[in-house]
Amino acid sequence: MLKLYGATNLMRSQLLKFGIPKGNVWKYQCSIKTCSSYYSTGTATTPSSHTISPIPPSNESIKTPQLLEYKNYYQNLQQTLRDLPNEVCDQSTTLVTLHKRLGLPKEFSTALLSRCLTCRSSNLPTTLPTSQNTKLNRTNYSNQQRDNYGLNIFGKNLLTFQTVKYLLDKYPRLPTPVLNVAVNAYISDEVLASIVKSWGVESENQSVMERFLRNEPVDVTLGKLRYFNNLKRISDGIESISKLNFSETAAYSLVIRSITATLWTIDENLATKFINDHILFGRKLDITRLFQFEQPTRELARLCEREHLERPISRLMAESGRLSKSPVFIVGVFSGEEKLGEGFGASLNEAKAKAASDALMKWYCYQPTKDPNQKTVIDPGTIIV
Amino acid sequence: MMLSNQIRGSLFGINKNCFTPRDTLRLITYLHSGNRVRGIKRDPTSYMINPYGLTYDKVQKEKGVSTSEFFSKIRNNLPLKKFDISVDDNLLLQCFTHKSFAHGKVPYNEKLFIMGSHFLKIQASVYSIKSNKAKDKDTLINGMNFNTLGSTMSKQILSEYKLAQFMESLGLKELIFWKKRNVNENNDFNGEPKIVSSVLNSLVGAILLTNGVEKTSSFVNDFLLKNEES
Amino acid sequence: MVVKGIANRFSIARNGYGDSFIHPCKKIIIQYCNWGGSSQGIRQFLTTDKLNNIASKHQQIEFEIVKKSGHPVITGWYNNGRHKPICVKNMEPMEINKKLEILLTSSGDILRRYTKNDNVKSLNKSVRGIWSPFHGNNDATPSV
Repeated sequence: MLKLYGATNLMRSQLLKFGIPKGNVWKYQCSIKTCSSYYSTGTATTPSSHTISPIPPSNESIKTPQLLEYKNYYQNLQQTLRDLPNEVCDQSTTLVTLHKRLGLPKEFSTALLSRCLTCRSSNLPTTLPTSQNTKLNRTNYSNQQRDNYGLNIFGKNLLTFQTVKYLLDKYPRLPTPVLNVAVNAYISDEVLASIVKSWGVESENQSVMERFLRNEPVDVTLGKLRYFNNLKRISDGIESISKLNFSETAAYSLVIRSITATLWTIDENLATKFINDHILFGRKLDITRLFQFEQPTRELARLCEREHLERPISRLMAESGRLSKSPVFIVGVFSGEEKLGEGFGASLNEAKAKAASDALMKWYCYQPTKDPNQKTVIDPGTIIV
Repeated sequence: MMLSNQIRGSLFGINKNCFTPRDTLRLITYLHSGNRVRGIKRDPTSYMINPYGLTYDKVQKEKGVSTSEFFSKIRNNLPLKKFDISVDDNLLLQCFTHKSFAHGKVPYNEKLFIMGSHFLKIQASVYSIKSNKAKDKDTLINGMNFNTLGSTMSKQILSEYKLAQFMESLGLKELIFWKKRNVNENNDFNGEPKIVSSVLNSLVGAILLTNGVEKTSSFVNDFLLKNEES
Repeated sequence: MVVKGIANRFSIARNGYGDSFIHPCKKIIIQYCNWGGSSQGIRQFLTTDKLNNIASKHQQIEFEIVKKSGHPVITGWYNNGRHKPICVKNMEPMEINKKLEILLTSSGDILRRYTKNDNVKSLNKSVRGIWSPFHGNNDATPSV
C-alpha cells in the first residue's frame, strides 16, 4: 500500500507519466492543502500554538469559517465511525496493511477489522460540547453501535476454552491453581496486549482538533485502536472514570479477542487456528516454573496413599563433602522398588524436599502419548493434605 | 463412642522387608468415630456418606452392576443414550463427587467442571448471538448479533441457579457426594446450588473429554438449552 | 491444597513459531526534496517501477512518500516501536534500493555485537542436560 503526501503536481504528473498503475498498491492522497508535510506515525508534532482546548461552540450565530470547518470535520468523522463504510475502510492504508500482516481471509472485511479496533468507550458525543454546557462532553454508550463490546465477550469465552482445553489435553493432571496461572500466562490482558502491539497496532492518542489542524484524512484513524473519546488529549490530565473505560492494556487486549470472535463467525476452524498460531503454539511457556510446593513430602505421601502405592521412602543415593562447607547430597524417593524422583541439596532435608517435589512434578506434569488408542486420561483431582 | 482397630500395614501394603522399628510402632491405628478429636484418625464410615444418607461404599460396589439404583437413576434421567453418549460408571461417579467430599481421597469433579463450564459458556453465548436478531440489521456480523452479549438476559442462560433447579427437577440432587461446611446450617448456606450446578457442568466436561465436541454440543443444545426455553 | 501456582509468569513470544509470522517492519516513509541536488537519485528511483514492485511484494508494509526540503531520508517503522532512519543523500537508485532492502529485512532491534561463542540463544533447556559427577557408570564417579 503506497501513499503520496504533499507530492507536488510536477512529481505527481511525472509519476503518472511513468505508468504507475492504479489499483490496490498505489494510492494518491493529494488532499494536503498546507505546505507542511504530514506524518501519521509516532513523532508527529503539532505546532505549539495549537494547544487550544477543542471546544467549538455550536452556536450558529458565530460565523467563524474555521470553526464551521471543524464542525464539518467532526461530523464527518462521527458519521464514518458510526457506519464504517467499506469504501472508506478500504482507503485506510493502516487498516489494509494490518489485514495483510495478519493474513486474514477475504470474508473478514476491513470494516470488520476497524470495528474490532473500536471500543465502546470511544464513541464521540453526538452534541458538540460548548463552554456553557460541558456536561454533554460525554461518551454515549449505546448498544446499537459498531464496536467490539460483544465481540470481546465472545472472544474471551473462545480464548479461555481453547487455552484450558489445550493445557488439559497436554497435561491432564495439572493442579487447578497451576492451571489458572498457566491460563493467565497465555491470555491475561498484559500478554494479549503485547501480542497486539507486536502486530504494529497503534492507539489513537491525538485529539480530534489536532487531527483537524493537521488536515489528517478521516481514514487514518480507522486503522488505529480507539479506546477513549478523543475530544481531549491525554496530556490534558483529564480522564473520565467509568465502568466502560479501559486502561490502554485492557483496550489492546480487546482487539485480539474481537478478531478471534469475528473469525469464528466466518469459520470455527479459522478461529481455532488463529488462537493456536498466535497464542498457544506461537508462545512458549515452561509449565514446571509455575509450581510452588509447600509441603512436598507430605503431599507425596498423600498421593501414594490415594493411588494405592507403597509409602514413599527417601534414600541417600550419593554424597560428597559432608563435613566440608559445601556438601552435596543426592536423595532419591522410592515407593517400594520404584524410584519416583531424585533431588540434590546442600543438606539432607533440602535434598529430600527436592526429591519429593521432583516426584510430584512428574506426576502433575504427566503428558499422555499422542497415540489415539490411548484412553483419555481423567484426572482424579489435585491432592489435598 | 465406637472404637475400632485396624492394621495399618494391610491398609497401605507396606513391604515387610523394609520395616524399620518406627514402622512397627505405627502398625496399629486407632480409628475414631463420633465427635471430632484433633489429631485422631476418623473412621471412614463416618464421613464417606453424603448429606442425604447415601454411602459411597455402597455405590462403589455397584459399579458395573446393571441393577444399581444409583447409576440406573442417572442413566434414566439423563438422555445419554439418545445422543449416543457412553460414559462409564467410574466417570459418572467422579462427576457426582464434589471436592469437599472425603477430603479429596476419592476422584472428584473439579477439573471436569472447569472444562464443562467453559464449554457451556461458549454454547450459551452462541445460543444468544444466534437467536436474538437485532432491530438494526447493519450491526450484525455474518448474521449474528453480538450486541446482545453482556446483557443480563444472556448472562442468565445456563446460570448456576437455573442449572441447580434443573438438576433438582431431574431428581439427581440427592445423589451427589459432598460435605457440608457447617452441619448446623441449611443446604443453601452450605452452597448446595453451586455444587449441584457444578455436577451438571462436570457431566458436560466428562462427555466432552470422552465423546468429542459434536456429541457434547448436541447434548447441550438439544437437551439443556431446549429445557431452558420451556 | 499444598501446591500453589506462581502468578505473573507470562508466556514468551516466538514470532513465526506457529503458522503465522508477523513481519517486523510495518511502515516505510520515503522523504525526498523536489529541488535539492542530493535528492536526484531518489527522484530517479521514485520515477521507476522499483518501488511499485517492492510495494506489491510486501503488501503488509505501508509505504508513504513525503516531500520535504533537505536531504532525502528513508525511515523504517517497526512493530517493536522503534524506527530506523537512513539518509540517502547523493545516492544512486541502486544504492537506495540496497538501503531499502536493509530496512525491509531488519527486525527493528538495536544492532548488537555478539561475543565469541555466544552464538546460540535458546528458550529451551539443553537436550543433554547438565553433567553430574554422581550419575552415569563412569569410573571417575564417586561411589554411592
